[in-house]
Amino acid sequence: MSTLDRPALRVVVPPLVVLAAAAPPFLAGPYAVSTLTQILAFSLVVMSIVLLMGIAGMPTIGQAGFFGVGGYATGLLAGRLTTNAPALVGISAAAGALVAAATGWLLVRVRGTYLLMLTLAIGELLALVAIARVGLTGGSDGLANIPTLRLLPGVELRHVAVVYWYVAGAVLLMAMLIALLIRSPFGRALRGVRDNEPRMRALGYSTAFYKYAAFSVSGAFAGVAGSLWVTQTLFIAPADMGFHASALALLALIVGGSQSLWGAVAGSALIIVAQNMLPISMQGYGPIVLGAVLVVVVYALPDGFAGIRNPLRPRRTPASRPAAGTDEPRRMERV
Amino acid sequence: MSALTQWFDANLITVINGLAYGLLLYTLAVGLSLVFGMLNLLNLAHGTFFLAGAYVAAVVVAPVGAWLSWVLALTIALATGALAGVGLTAVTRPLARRGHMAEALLTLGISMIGSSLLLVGFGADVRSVPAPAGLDGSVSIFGDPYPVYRLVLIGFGLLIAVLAEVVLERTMMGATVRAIVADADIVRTLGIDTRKILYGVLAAGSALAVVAGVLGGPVLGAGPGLDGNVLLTALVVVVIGGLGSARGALIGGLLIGQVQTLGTALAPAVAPFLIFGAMALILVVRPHGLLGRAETTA
Amino acid sequence: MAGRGAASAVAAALALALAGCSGSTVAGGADTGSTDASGPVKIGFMVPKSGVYASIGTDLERAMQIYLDKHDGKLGGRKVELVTVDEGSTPQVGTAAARRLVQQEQVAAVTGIVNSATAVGVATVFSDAKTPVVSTGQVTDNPFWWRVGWTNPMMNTSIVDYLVARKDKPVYLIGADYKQGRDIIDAVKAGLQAGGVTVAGTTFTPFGTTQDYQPYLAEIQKSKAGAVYAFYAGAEATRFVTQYAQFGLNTQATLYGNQALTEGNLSAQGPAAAGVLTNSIYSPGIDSPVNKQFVEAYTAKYNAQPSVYSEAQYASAAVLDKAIASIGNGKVTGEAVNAALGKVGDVETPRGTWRFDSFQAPTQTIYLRRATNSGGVMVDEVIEVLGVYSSDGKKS
Repeated sequence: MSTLDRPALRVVVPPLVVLAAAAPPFLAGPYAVSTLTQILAFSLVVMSIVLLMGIAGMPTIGQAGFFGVGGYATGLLAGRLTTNAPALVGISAAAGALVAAATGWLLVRVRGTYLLMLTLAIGELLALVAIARVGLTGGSDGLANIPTLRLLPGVELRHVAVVYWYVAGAVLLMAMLIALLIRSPFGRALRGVRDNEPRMRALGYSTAFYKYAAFSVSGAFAGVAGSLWVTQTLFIAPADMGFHASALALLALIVGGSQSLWGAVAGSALIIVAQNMLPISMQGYGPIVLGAVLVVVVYALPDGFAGIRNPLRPRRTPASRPAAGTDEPRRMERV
Repeated sequence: MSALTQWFDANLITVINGLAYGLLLYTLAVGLSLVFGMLNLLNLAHGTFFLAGAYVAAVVVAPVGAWLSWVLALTIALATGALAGVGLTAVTRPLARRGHMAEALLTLGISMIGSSLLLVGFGADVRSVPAPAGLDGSVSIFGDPYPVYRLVLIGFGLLIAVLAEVVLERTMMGATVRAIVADADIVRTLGIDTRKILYGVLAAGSALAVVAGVLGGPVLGAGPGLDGNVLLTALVVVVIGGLGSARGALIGGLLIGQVQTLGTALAPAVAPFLIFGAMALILVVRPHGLLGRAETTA
Repeated sequence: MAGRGAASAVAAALALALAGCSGSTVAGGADTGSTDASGPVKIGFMVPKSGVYASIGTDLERAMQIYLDKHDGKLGGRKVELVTVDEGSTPQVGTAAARRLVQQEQVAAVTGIVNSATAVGVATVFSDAKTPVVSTGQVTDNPFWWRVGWTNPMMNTSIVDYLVARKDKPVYLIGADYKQGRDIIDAVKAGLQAGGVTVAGTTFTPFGTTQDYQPYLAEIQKSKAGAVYAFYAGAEATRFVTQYAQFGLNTQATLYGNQALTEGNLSAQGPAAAGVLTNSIYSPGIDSPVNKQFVEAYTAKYNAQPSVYSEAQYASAAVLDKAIASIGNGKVTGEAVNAALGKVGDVETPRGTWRFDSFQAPTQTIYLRRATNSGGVMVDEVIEVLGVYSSDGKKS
């Protein structure tokens, strides 16, 4: 997550990030804060795609399916089992991982566009399950009337600011976890699989296992994102987990830069803001704006927002750039 | 034996309808598949082209419904489709070195803009498109009425399939196209100008998508959302058949046609799962589709 | 990671998100929807501007405009500040729009909302904020939700009563597979069976993705049903009715449905719809001064007949008008409007005069209509009055 090389910065920056993350409810009105909450929850799905696609080199357009699994797990159990939000996050993570693990074995042999289509099929099939089980899930109408969750006994996640702090804290924690994972030997192995699978196999790595593990782990993170999302909206529908939702997440990833967790947040912000907050006179024209942004980004920012350099900072030399940050899209074509 | 004939009798109409639907899917998907095979370009605006064709039919044919307007609609479709294809090649070429993810996202952006413009231009109501005069009735097939137009659709689809087969397998140009799908670099080293062929294939593929829209108009109507639906189905068809293979698109189209009609009639409860289930199953058994080749690995 | 500059992008996005919404969430802030005695009143207007129901959204906006034009842009004597938002095609977009209305715009009341799934999804957002909603959406057991259109029970029992009285041939039931569709088809099925009518079969078709109904139509053909009851709306209704005729079923089995089957779709369905029977709460042909005025103003301005949805939106405006007027010089808050709605009494609307019952929905007359070709234009012609039905489906 950081290329901070000066030790002083390492000490100063984390508290600053926490402080900045905690500040919005003191500065902004409830609608802005609830929009931020939405952005952060959504960005965690995008981060799970960073792990899967940016690091492991497995393109996906079905990640919203696992987001939905987590969301439904939280929504369905909230009234029946517990209203303890962190417990539900754990359950949703497990549900996301389990469903991803149950479907992931289909994927390990398949590559490129076929892999993209297979993940699409998995996401669509998961959405169809939610649609078909009308009695349990409310069908395509979605699951409404989810009770308000509690952070601790007695602390309700009802006030906009409290929900925001909870979601922001959880996303920060998960982002740190993903960053650690990316830098761990596991993450390095995934990058190896992405860059040269035959070589990794020759070195004795079970590449199929690594891909399977990456898929399952990213399913868990997407599940957590679903849980956090539902904590705020108290509503989830199959429309949140199908092709369209996955495409939006993928779009956020590309706009942000496919290997950057910061980029994931920036991309999510753009998508959510474009969807929710366009001037009222522009309502109904959201797709045009999103489409135009997409066209501009593809042409002008090959590495997404993450590729924008801070003009005040000296350019890093190519040697100091992490290997993962280089011409990644070209590699995507050959995965 | 009699049980079989009885079953066939009961489901004949559905099987015929699956054929009509499958051939329509083929007309739409074959361009998508060839374009991908040659340019490594997954054109996500393909569904928007189809919808544009359906609107052409709604606007040109609907008020009159006569043969002449039908021919006019098809001509407009061919022209606009070819133009759009050339335009699309021009805007995606600069990105070719960045790989197919960037190109696919560019076409996604274009399709979002295009669909919104169609919504603004034609409104949110579904337009129904009449079949051309003389073809708007129905004939009796073993006692059950069936719309004549859908039979004509089968004829059209077969015609396009035969044309594609002849052009791709029996002409020099077709041989070049197949060679480019197999290995573009080698073809280039032979001194053949691949660019013209690339433009030609994208123009033809896009024109076919718009034509499919005109042909599909009387069956599916024209309205917002249709583009996304047909794009997903076409992608499934192409992936099942194998990217880059025209014959694969035919097999995929016919298969999905039956899955969506016969499958629905026989097992309505699982109908929605059938199409994606079929694709997942085929990809698990054959990771490159039925007739696809392995994508070259870096 | 290549992401330093992204931090500034995040900051920019944040700034964008926060723009226009000053103040603080923590410090509390004003209570929702407060307006001083004579000042303007903010009303949220949620209509679909995209997706399957976008054309219905147009009907709603037109009707609202007609009402406000007629009343100098005022409701209850106060200038109206209408905040129009897109309810979108999915509940997810709808909930975001709903939060915007209560959290940022702090409206005193909300009207519109076409998609019933969205209605169910946003209902708690509004009731948590104590903001009343006047809508056609089928939300029950919510003290802040006022149904001004129809209710499923009244639509279902009135058509069941008609079919049972006719002792019709076996009836086949088909509908879109979502909660609303299942609720309606199941209720009609139970009613028919209780009345001794044979049900020839029941099918649900995937919602929003079914393009070709042929496989289902073939099953209907096989069942030898003499009548079909179908629940479809919007684009699906157009496809179903058109294909129903294409496969010749219209000559074999009469097609029934509620108003959604033809309402707003007749011109697209064209001659294929001829003979389709639907029940409805409204017809532009109703003979009353209020209706005449409404239809005249509507056709003059938009060159189109008002639909059931237009009428319901006009009625919503009338209901809000009367409720806000009764608040007098008090503060127009969400709670005040909700209390006023409970005491609003008789409301005069184009379809007739009615009042909210204990289920917060009207008791009203239901008509049976036949789609007819009238000089090249398809119209829904009233052929019978089915009777007066309460919101829980009891005939009076």
